[in-house]
Amino acid sequence: MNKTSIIIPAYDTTRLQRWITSACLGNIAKYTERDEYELIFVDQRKEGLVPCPLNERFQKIDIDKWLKPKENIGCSAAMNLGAKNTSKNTEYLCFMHNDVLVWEGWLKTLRSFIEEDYCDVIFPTQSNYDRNDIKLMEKGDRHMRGNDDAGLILTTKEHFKESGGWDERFKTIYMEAAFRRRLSGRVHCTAKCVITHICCGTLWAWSDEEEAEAYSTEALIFNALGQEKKKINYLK
Amino acid sequence: MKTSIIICPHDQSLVWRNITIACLGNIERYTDREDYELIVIDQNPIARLSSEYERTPNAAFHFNIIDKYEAVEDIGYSAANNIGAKYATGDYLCFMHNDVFVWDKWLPKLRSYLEEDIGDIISPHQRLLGREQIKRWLGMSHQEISGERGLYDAGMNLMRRKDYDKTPGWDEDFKIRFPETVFITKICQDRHGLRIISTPEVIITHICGLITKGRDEHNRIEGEEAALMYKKKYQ
Repeated sequence: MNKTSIIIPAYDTTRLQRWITSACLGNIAKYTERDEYELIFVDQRKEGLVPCPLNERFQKIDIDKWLKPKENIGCSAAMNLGAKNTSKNTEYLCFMHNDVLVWEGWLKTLRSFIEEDYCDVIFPTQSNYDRNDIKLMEKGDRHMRGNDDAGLILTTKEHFKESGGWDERFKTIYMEAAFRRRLSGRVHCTAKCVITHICCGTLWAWSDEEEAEAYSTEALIFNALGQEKKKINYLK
Repeated sequence: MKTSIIICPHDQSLVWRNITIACLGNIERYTDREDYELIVIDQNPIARLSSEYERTPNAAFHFNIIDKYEAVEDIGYSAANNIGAKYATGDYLCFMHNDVFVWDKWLPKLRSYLEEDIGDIISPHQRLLGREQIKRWLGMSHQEISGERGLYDAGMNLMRRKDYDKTPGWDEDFKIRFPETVFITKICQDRHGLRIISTPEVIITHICGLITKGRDEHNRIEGEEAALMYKKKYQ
Protein backbone atom coordinates (compact mmCIF):
# COMPACT_ATOMS: atom_id res chain seq x y z
CA MET A 1 0.00 0.00 0.00
CA ASN A 2 1.15 3.53 -0.78
CA LYS A 3 1.43 5.34 2.49
CA THR A 4 0.59 8.96 3.20
CA SER A 5 2.72 11.32 5.27
CA ILE A 6 0.34 13.52 7.26
CA ILE A 7 2.07 16.76 8.17
CA ILE A 8 0.59 18.96 10.87
CA PRO A 9 2.19 22.16 12.10
CA ALA A 10 0.98 23.71 15.35
CA TYR A 11 1.76 26.98 17.01
CA ASP A 12 -0.09 26.61 20.28
CA THR A 13 0.12 29.46 22.74
CA THR A 14 -2.70 28.50 25.10
CA ARG A 15 -3.95 25.34 26.72
CA LEU A 16 -7.17 25.56 24.73
CA GLN A 17 -5.23 25.57 21.45
CA ARG A 18 -3.29 22.57 22.69
CA TRP A 19 -6.54 20.73 23.26
CA ILE A 20 -7.75 21.59 19.78
CA THR A 21 -4.53 20.13 18.38
CA SER A 22 -5.01 17.03 20.51
CA ALA A 23 -8.54 16.56 19.18
CA CYS A 24 -7.22 16.92 15.63
CA LEU A 25 -4.53 14.27 16.18
CA GLY A 26 -7.02 12.13 18.10
CA ASN A 27 -9.44 12.00 15.19
CA ILE A 28 -6.65 10.94 12.85
CA ALA A 29 -5.84 8.10 15.24
CA LYS A 30 -9.50 7.11 15.48
CA TYR A 31 -10.46 7.28 11.85
CA THR A 32 -7.36 6.26 9.87
CA GLU A 33 -5.85 2.82 9.44
CA ARG A 34 -2.45 2.83 11.13
CA ASP A 35 -0.68 1.19 8.22
CA GLU A 36 -1.91 3.85 5.81
CA TYR A 37 -0.03 6.81 7.21
CA GLU A 38 2.86 8.25 9.15
CA LEU A 39 2.23 11.28 11.33
CA ILE A 40 4.69 14.17 11.32
CA PHE A 41 3.96 16.83 13.90
CA VAL A 42 5.83 20.13 13.64
CA ASP A 43 5.37 21.49 17.11
CA GLN A 44 6.11 25.19 17.62
CA ARG A 45 4.30 25.48 20.91
CA LYS A 46 4.96 28.42 23.12
CA GLU A 47 7.81 27.95 25.56
CA GLY A 48 6.54 26.80 28.92
CA LEU A 49 3.18 25.65 27.66
CA VAL A 50 2.40 22.30 29.18
CA PRO A 51 2.75 19.51 26.65
CA CYS A 52 -0.53 17.99 27.76
CA PRO A 53 -2.58 16.28 26.65
CA LEU A 54 -0.61 15.02 23.70
CA ASN A 55 1.54 12.57 25.55
CA GLU A 56 -0.12 12.31 28.91
CA ARG A 57 -3.80 11.67 28.95
CA PHE A 58 -4.25 10.41 25.43
CA GLN A 59 -1.80 7.57 24.99
CA LYS A 60 -3.27 6.49 21.69
CA ILE A 61 -1.78 9.16 19.49
CA ASP A 62 1.27 7.74 17.77
CA ILE A 63 3.40 10.55 16.44
CA ASP A 64 6.04 9.12 14.13
CA LYS A 65 8.16 12.23 13.93
CA TRP A 66 7.77 15.01 16.45
CA LEU A 67 9.76 17.97 15.15
CA LYS A 68 10.37 20.91 17.45
CA PRO A 69 11.84 23.96 15.70
CA LYS A 70 13.59 26.25 18.17
CA GLU A 71 11.83 29.36 16.96
CA ASN A 72 8.61 30.28 15.22
CA ILE A 73 9.53 29.55 11.63
CA GLY A 74 6.02 30.15 10.33
CA CYS A 75 3.44 27.83 8.93
CA SER A 76 4.84 27.50 5.37
CA ALA A 77 8.36 26.66 6.57
CA ALA A 78 6.87 24.20 9.06
CA MET A 79 5.01 22.46 6.23
CA ASN A 80 8.23 22.24 4.19
CA LEU A 81 10.16 20.97 7.20
CA GLY A 82 7.57 18.25 7.66
CA ALA A 83 7.78 17.32 3.98
CA LYS A 84 11.57 17.06 4.20
CA ASN A 85 11.27 14.65 7.09
CA THR A 86 8.92 12.16 5.50
CA SER A 87 9.94 8.54 5.16
CA LYS A 88 11.16 7.33 1.82
CA ASN A 89 8.40 4.77 1.49
CA THR A 90 5.50 7.23 1.51
CA GLU A 91 4.01 8.39 -1.76
CA TYR A 92 1.43 10.96 -0.71
CA LEU A 93 1.63 14.14 1.32
CA CYS A 94 -1.29 15.41 3.34
CA PHE A 95 -0.87 18.91 4.75
CA MET A 96 -3.35 19.49 7.51
CA HIS A 97 -4.07 22.37 9.87
CA ASN A 98 -4.21 21.53 13.55
CA ASP A 99 -7.85 22.63 13.84
CA VAL A 100 -9.19 20.09 11.36
CA LEU A 101 -11.27 17.09 12.38
CA VAL A 102 -11.40 14.15 10.00
CA TRP A 103 -14.03 11.41 10.01
CA GLU A 104 -14.35 7.77 9.04
CA GLY A 105 -13.03 6.90 5.58
CA TRP A 106 -11.51 10.32 4.89
CA LEU A 107 -8.06 9.26 3.68
CA LYS A 108 -9.15 6.33 1.50
CA THR A 109 -11.75 8.51 -0.18
CA LEU A 110 -9.37 11.36 -0.89
CA ARG A 111 -6.52 9.12 -1.99
CA SER A 112 -8.73 7.24 -4.44
CA PHE A 113 -9.03 10.38 -6.59
CA ILE A 114 -5.27 10.47 -7.12
CA GLU A 115 -4.85 6.69 -7.34
CA GLU A 116 -7.46 6.58 -10.09
CA ASP A 117 -5.67 9.44 -11.86
CA TYR A 118 -8.67 11.73 -11.62
CA CYS A 119 -6.57 14.65 -10.37
CA ASP A 120 -3.16 15.51 -8.91
CA VAL A 121 -4.27 17.59 -5.95
CA ILE A 122 -7.39 17.00 -3.90
CA PHE A 123 -9.20 19.02 -1.22
CA PRO A 124 -12.10 17.79 0.91
CA THR A 125 -15.20 19.89 1.46
CA GLN A 126 -14.77 21.93 4.61
CA SER A 127 -17.05 24.92 4.55
CA ASN A 128 -20.33 24.72 6.33
CA TYR A 129 -23.26 23.24 4.50
CA ASP A 130 -26.77 22.54 5.61
CA ARG A 131 -28.26 19.09 5.93
CA ASN A 132 -29.86 18.99 2.49
CA ASP A 133 -26.56 19.82 0.79
CA ILE A 134 -24.81 17.09 2.75
CA LYS A 135 -27.46 14.57 1.70
CA LEU A 136 -27.06 15.60 -1.94
CA MET A 137 -23.30 15.23 -1.65
CA GLU A 138 -23.66 11.71 -0.29
CA LYS A 139 -25.59 10.77 -3.42
CA GLY A 140 -23.37 12.71 -5.83
CA ASP A 141 -20.65 11.18 -8.00
CA ARG A 142 -16.96 11.96 -7.87
CA HIS A 143 -17.29 14.85 -10.32
CA MET A 144 -19.42 16.75 -7.83
CA ARG A 145 -17.48 19.70 -6.56
CA GLY A 146 -17.47 20.77 -2.95
CA ASN A 147 -16.31 23.95 -1.38
CA ASP A 148 -12.66 24.03 -0.41
CA ASP A 149 -10.83 25.85 2.32
CA ALA A 150 -7.31 25.93 3.65
CA GLY A 151 -7.49 23.14 6.21
CA LEU A 152 -6.40 20.04 4.31
CA ILE A 153 -4.74 19.21 1.01
CA LEU A 154 -3.57 15.87 -0.38
CA THR A 155 -1.13 15.43 -3.24
CA THR A 156 1.73 13.21 -4.34
CA LYS A 157 5.33 13.77 -3.32
CA GLU A 158 6.22 14.07 -6.95
CA HIS A 159 3.68 16.78 -7.54
CA PHE A 160 4.70 18.63 -4.41
CA LYS A 161 8.29 18.61 -5.59
CA GLU A 162 7.29 20.04 -8.95
CA SER A 163 5.40 22.86 -7.22
CA GLY A 164 8.51 23.99 -5.36
CA GLY A 165 6.92 23.57 -1.96
CA TRP A 166 5.37 26.12 0.33
CA ASP A 167 6.51 29.71 -0.11
CA GLU A 168 8.34 30.42 3.14
CA ARG A 169 7.91 34.16 2.84
CA PHE A 170 4.35 33.55 4.00
CA LYS A 171 4.24 32.66 7.66
CA THR A 172 0.53 32.90 8.22
CA ILE A 173 -2.52 34.35 6.52
CA TYR A 174 -1.51 34.21 2.85
CA MET A 175 0.33 30.91 3.03
CA GLU A 176 -2.43 28.81 1.50
CA ALA A 177 -3.19 31.23 -1.29
CA ALA A 178 0.51 31.52 -2.11
CA PHE A 179 0.93 27.73 -2.16
CA ARG A 180 -2.03 27.31 -4.44
CA ARG A 181 -0.49 29.68 -6.92
CA ARG A 182 2.40 27.24 -7.18
CA LEU A 183 0.22 24.22 -7.84
CA SER A 184 0.17 22.93 -11.37
CA GLY A 185 -1.77 19.93 -12.60
CA ARG A 186 -5.38 19.05 -12.00
CA VAL A 187 -6.96 20.28 -8.80
CA HIS A 188 -10.28 19.02 -7.45
CA CYS A 189 -12.37 19.93 -4.41
CA THR A 190 -14.50 16.89 -3.79
CA ALA A 191 -17.90 16.71 -2.18
CA LYS A 192 -17.34 13.03 -1.37
CA CYS A 193 -15.25 13.78 1.70
CA VAL A 194 -16.39 16.33 4.25
CA ILE A 195 -14.19 17.38 7.14
CA THR A 196 -14.73 19.77 10.03
CA HIS A 197 -12.44 22.78 10.01
CA ILE A 198 -12.73 25.04 13.03
CA CYS A 199 -10.97 27.71 10.96
CA CYS A 200 -8.16 29.96 12.05
CA GLY A 201 -7.24 27.90 15.09
CA THR A 202 -3.78 28.02 13.52
CA LEU A 203 -3.60 31.70 12.68
CA TRP A 204 -5.31 33.09 15.74
CA ALA A 205 -2.78 31.40 17.94
CA TRP A 206 -0.50 34.27 17.06
CA SER A 207 -0.28 37.37 19.18
CA ASP A 208 -2.05 40.48 17.89
CA GLU A 209 1.31 42.10 17.14
CA GLU A 210 2.68 39.10 15.27
CA GLU A 211 -0.51 38.77 13.33
CA ALA A 212 -0.70 42.44 12.41
CA GLU A 213 2.90 42.42 11.22
CA ALA A 214 2.41 39.23 9.23
CA TYR A 215 -0.73 40.62 7.64
CA SER A 216 0.92 43.81 6.48
CA THR A 217 4.19 42.33 5.22
CA GLU A 218 2.59 39.30 3.62
CA ALA A 219 -0.10 41.38 1.97
CA LEU A 220 2.56 43.42 0.18
CA ILE A 221 4.38 40.35 -1.10
CA PHE A 222 1.17 38.61 -2.07
CA ASN A 223 -0.23 41.58 -3.91
CA ALA A 224 3.01 41.82 -5.86
CA LEU A 225 2.59 38.16 -6.80
CA GLY A 226 -0.86 39.01 -8.07
CA GLN A 227 0.71 40.94 -10.91
CA GLU A 228 1.96 37.69 -12.37
CA LYS A 229 -1.17 36.03 -13.66
CA LYS A 230 -1.60 32.44 -12.57
CA LYS A 231 -4.73 30.38 -12.87
CA ILE A 232 -5.29 27.28 -10.80
CA ASN A 233 -6.44 24.39 -12.94
CA TYR A 234 -9.60 23.37 -11.07
CA LEU A 235 -11.46 20.51 -12.68
CA LYS A 236 -14.85 21.54 -14.03
CA MET B 1 -40.56 13.19 18.48
CA LYS B 2 -38.30 16.19 18.56
CA THR B 3 -35.12 16.75 20.53
CA SER B 4 -34.25 20.14 21.96
CA ILE B 5 -30.48 20.60 21.69
CA ILE B 6 -29.32 23.07 24.32
CA ILE B 7 -25.93 24.74 23.97
CA CYS B 8 -24.55 27.39 26.32
CA PRO B 9 -21.41 29.06 24.97
CA HIS B 10 -19.30 31.43 27.02
CA ASP B 11 -16.88 32.49 24.29
CA GLN B 12 -14.03 34.76 25.27
CA SER B 13 -12.02 34.92 22.08
CA LEU B 14 -12.45 34.51 18.34
CA VAL B 15 -10.96 31.01 18.51
CA TRP B 16 -13.63 30.03 21.04
CA ARG B 17 -16.30 31.58 18.86
CA ASN B 18 -15.13 29.62 15.86
CA ILE B 19 -15.21 26.41 17.87
CA THR B 20 -18.82 27.14 18.78
CA ILE B 21 -19.66 27.91 15.16
CA ALA B 22 -18.04 24.66 14.00
CA CYS B 23 -19.94 22.77 16.70
CA LEU B 24 -23.25 24.24 15.50
CA GLY B 25 -22.18 23.63 11.90
CA ASN B 26 -21.76 19.90 12.50
CA ILE B 27 -25.19 19.70 14.11
CA GLU B 28 -26.65 21.39 11.05
CA ARG B 29 -24.81 19.06 8.68
CA TYR B 30 -25.47 15.79 10.40
CA THR B 31 -28.92 16.07 11.94
CA ASP B 32 -32.23 15.90 10.08
CA ARG B 33 -33.97 19.22 10.52
CA GLU B 34 -37.29 17.74 11.60
CA ASP B 35 -35.52 15.83 14.38
CA TYR B 36 -34.49 18.79 16.50
CA GLU B 37 -34.70 22.37 17.61
CA LEU B 38 -31.55 24.24 18.56
CA ILE B 39 -31.46 26.48 21.60
CA VAL B 40 -28.39 28.62 22.20
CA ILE B 41 -27.99 30.39 25.52
CA ASP B 42 -25.31 32.83 24.57
CA GLN B 43 -23.26 34.17 27.47
CA ASN B 44 -20.87 36.10 25.36
CA PRO B 45 -18.86 38.44 27.53
CA ILE B 46 -17.20 40.21 24.64
CA ALA B 47 -19.59 42.49 22.83
CA ARG B 48 -17.58 42.54 19.63
CA LEU B 49 -18.13 38.82 19.24
CA SER B 50 -21.88 38.99 19.50
CA SER B 51 -22.44 38.98 15.76
CA GLU B 52 -19.93 36.22 15.00
CA TYR B 53 -22.70 33.78 14.11
CA GLU B 54 -23.54 36.02 11.21
CA ARG B 55 -19.88 36.60 10.26
CA THR B 56 -19.19 33.03 9.24
CA PRO B 57 -16.81 32.41 6.36
CA ASN B 58 -19.61 31.17 4.14
CA ALA B 59 -22.22 33.88 3.68
CA ALA B 60 -24.83 31.34 2.63
CA PHE B 61 -24.46 29.50 5.89
CA HIS B 62 -27.01 29.95 8.60
CA PHE B 63 -28.07 28.24 11.76
CA ASN B 64 -31.62 27.32 12.53
CA ILE B 65 -31.55 28.66 16.04
CA ILE B 66 -35.05 29.02 17.35
CA ASP B 67 -34.05 30.99 20.38
CA LYS B 68 -30.83 32.77 21.05
CA TYR B 69 -31.12 33.94 24.58
CA GLU B 70 -28.45 36.53 25.29
CA ALA B 71 -27.54 36.49 28.96
CA VAL B 72 -26.45 39.90 30.17
CA GLU B 73 -24.06 38.48 32.71
CA ASP B 74 -22.19 35.26 33.35
CA ILE B 75 -25.02 33.29 34.91
CA GLY B 76 -22.99 30.08 34.84
CA TYR B 77 -23.32 26.87 32.93
CA SER B 78 -25.95 25.24 35.16
CA ALA B 79 -28.30 28.23 35.13
CA ALA B 80 -27.90 28.55 31.37
CA ASN B 81 -28.93 24.93 30.91
CA ASN B 82 -32.02 25.51 33.06
CA ILE B 83 -32.99 28.50 30.91
CA GLY B 84 -32.49 26.34 27.82
CA ALA B 85 -34.75 23.67 29.25
CA LYS B 86 -37.45 26.29 29.90
CA TYR B 87 -37.37 27.30 26.24
CA ALA B 88 -37.34 23.68 25.04
CA THR B 89 -40.44 22.22 23.43
CA GLY B 90 -39.00 18.80 22.50
CA ASP B 91 -39.79 15.43 24.07
CA TYR B 92 -36.08 14.91 24.56
CA LEU B 93 -33.42 17.25 25.90
CA CYS B 94 -29.85 17.08 24.70
CA PHE B 95 -27.42 19.11 26.81
CA MET B 96 -24.33 19.62 24.71
CA HIS B 97 -21.06 21.47 25.29
CA ASN B 98 -20.08 23.95 22.60
CA ASP B 99 -16.80 22.09 21.91
CA VAL B 100 -18.47 18.85 20.88
CA PHE B 101 -18.51 17.66 17.28
CA VAL B 102 -21.14 15.22 16.15
CA TRP B 103 -21.14 13.06 13.08
CA ASP B 104 -23.67 11.37 10.83
CA LYS B 105 -26.71 9.63 12.42
CA TRP B 106 -25.65 10.58 15.95
CA LEU B 107 -29.10 11.64 17.14
CA PRO B 108 -31.33 8.75 16.01
CA LYS B 109 -28.75 6.29 17.33
CA LEU B 110 -28.56 7.92 20.75
CA ARG B 111 -32.31 8.41 20.92
CA SER B 112 -32.93 4.71 20.23
CA TYR B 113 -31.53 3.93 23.70
CA LEU B 114 -34.32 6.03 25.23
CA GLU B 115 -36.97 4.71 22.83
CA GLU B 116 -36.01 1.11 23.62
CA ASP B 117 -35.77 1.95 27.33
CA ILE B 118 -32.16 0.76 27.62
CA GLY B 119 -31.34 3.78 29.78
CA ASP B 120 -32.63 7.18 30.91
CA ILE B 121 -29.60 9.41 30.31
CA ILE B 122 -27.59 8.54 27.25
CA SER B 123 -24.10 9.78 26.58
CA PRO B 124 -21.94 9.00 23.54
CA HIS B 125 -18.40 7.70 23.75
CA GLN B 126 -16.11 10.73 23.77
CA ARG B 127 -12.64 9.69 24.84
CA LEU B 128 -9.83 8.71 22.55
CA LEU B 129 -9.26 5.07 21.85
CA GLY B 130 -7.05 3.34 19.31
CA ARG B 131 -8.20 2.51 15.80
CA GLU B 132 -8.66 -1.19 16.49
CA GLN B 133 -11.25 -0.59 19.19
CA ILE B 134 -13.04 2.02 17.09
CA LYS B 135 -13.16 -0.40 14.15
CA ARG B 136 -14.55 -3.16 16.33
CA TRP B 137 -17.38 -0.88 17.42
CA LEU B 138 -18.04 0.46 13.93
CA GLY B 139 -18.50 -3.10 12.69
CA MET B 140 -21.15 -4.05 15.27
CA SER B 141 -24.91 -4.15 14.82
CA HIS B 142 -27.18 -2.12 17.11
CA GLN B 143 -28.05 -5.29 19.04
CA GLU B 144 -24.41 -6.23 19.53
CA ILE B 145 -23.15 -2.81 20.49
CA SER B 146 -25.98 -1.93 22.86
CA GLY B 147 -24.35 -4.30 25.34
CA GLU B 148 -21.01 -2.46 25.13
CA ARG B 149 -20.10 0.58 27.18
CA GLY B 150 -18.14 3.62 26.08
CA LEU B 151 -16.29 6.03 28.31
CA TYR B 152 -18.42 8.73 29.85
CA ASP B 153 -17.49 12.39 29.71
CA ALA B 154 -19.43 15.57 30.23
CA GLY B 155 -19.76 16.75 26.64
CA MET B 156 -23.24 15.47 25.86
CA ASN B 157 -26.22 14.00 27.70
CA LEU B 158 -29.56 13.08 26.16
CA MET B 159 -32.62 12.52 28.35
CA ARG B 160 -36.40 12.48 28.23
CA ARG B 161 -38.17 15.73 28.97
CA LYS B 162 -40.50 13.97 31.40
CA ASP B 163 -37.52 12.65 33.38
CA TYR B 164 -35.95 16.10 33.51
CA ASP B 165 -39.22 17.49 34.86
CA LYS B 166 -39.07 15.09 37.80
CA THR B 167 -35.82 16.71 38.93
CA PRO B 168 -35.25 20.24 40.27
CA GLY B 169 -32.97 20.86 37.26
CA TRP B 170 -29.31 21.82 37.22
CA ASP B 171 -27.96 23.10 40.53
CA GLU B 172 -27.23 26.76 39.81
CA ASP B 173 -24.73 27.01 42.65
CA PHE B 174 -22.28 25.24 40.34
CA LYS B 175 -21.38 27.74 37.66
CA ILE B 176 -18.34 26.14 36.07
CA ARG B 177 -17.07 23.29 38.18
CA PHE B 178 -18.97 20.04 38.68
CA PRO B 179 -22.19 20.94 36.82
CA GLU B 180 -22.55 17.50 35.22
CA THR B 181 -21.22 15.62 38.23
CA VAL B 182 -23.90 17.26 40.32
CA PHE B 183 -26.83 17.18 37.91
CA ILE B 184 -26.28 13.91 36.07
CA THR B 185 -24.68 11.79 38.78
CA LYS B 186 -25.96 13.19 42.05
CA ILE B 187 -29.37 14.58 41.16
CA CYS B 188 -30.52 12.38 38.27
CA GLN B 189 -28.85 9.08 39.14
CA ASP B 190 -28.52 9.04 42.92
CA ARG B 191 -31.62 10.99 43.94
CA HIS B 192 -34.02 10.13 41.13
CA GLY B 193 -32.83 6.70 40.10
CA LEU B 194 -32.24 7.53 36.43
CA ARG B 195 -29.99 5.08 34.59
CA ILE B 196 -26.90 6.52 32.87
CA ILE B 197 -25.64 4.71 29.78
CA SER B 198 -22.55 5.65 27.81
CA THR B 199 -22.70 3.96 24.44
CA PRO B 200 -19.93 3.56 21.86
CA GLU B 201 -22.59 3.28 19.16
CA VAL B 202 -22.16 7.02 18.87
CA ILE B 203 -18.65 8.43 18.99
CA ILE B 204 -18.24 12.18 19.18
CA THR B 205 -15.20 14.42 19.30
CA HIS B 206 -15.01 16.52 22.43
CA ILE B 207 -12.22 19.07 22.57
CA CYS B 208 -12.78 19.21 26.35
CA GLY B 209 -12.71 22.10 28.71
CA LEU B 210 -14.15 24.91 26.62
CA ILE B 211 -16.62 25.81 29.32
CA THR B 212 -13.81 26.07 31.86
CA LYS B 213 -10.50 26.83 30.15
CA GLY B 214 -9.48 30.43 29.76
CA ARG B 215 -11.24 31.22 32.98
CA ASP B 216 -8.16 30.09 34.88
CA GLU B 217 -8.18 32.58 37.76
CA HIS B 218 -11.95 32.56 37.93
CA ASN B 219 -11.73 28.81 37.70
CA ARG B 220 -9.32 28.45 40.59
CA ILE B 221 -11.45 30.52 42.93
CA GLU B 222 -14.67 28.98 41.77
CA GLY B 223 -13.07 25.54 41.89
CA GLU B 224 -12.20 25.89 45.56
CA GLU B 225 -15.64 27.21 46.45
CA ALA B 226 -17.38 24.63 44.32
CA ALA B 227 -15.39 21.80 45.90
CA LEU B 228 -16.46 22.90 49.37
CA MET B 229 -20.06 23.31 48.30
CA TYR B 230 -20.05 19.95 46.58
CA LYS B 231 -18.82 18.31 49.76
CA LYS B 232 -21.46 20.06 51.82
CA LYS B 233 -24.41 19.41 49.54
CA TYR B 234 -23.69 16.09 47.91
CA GLN B 235 -21.23 14.03 49.93
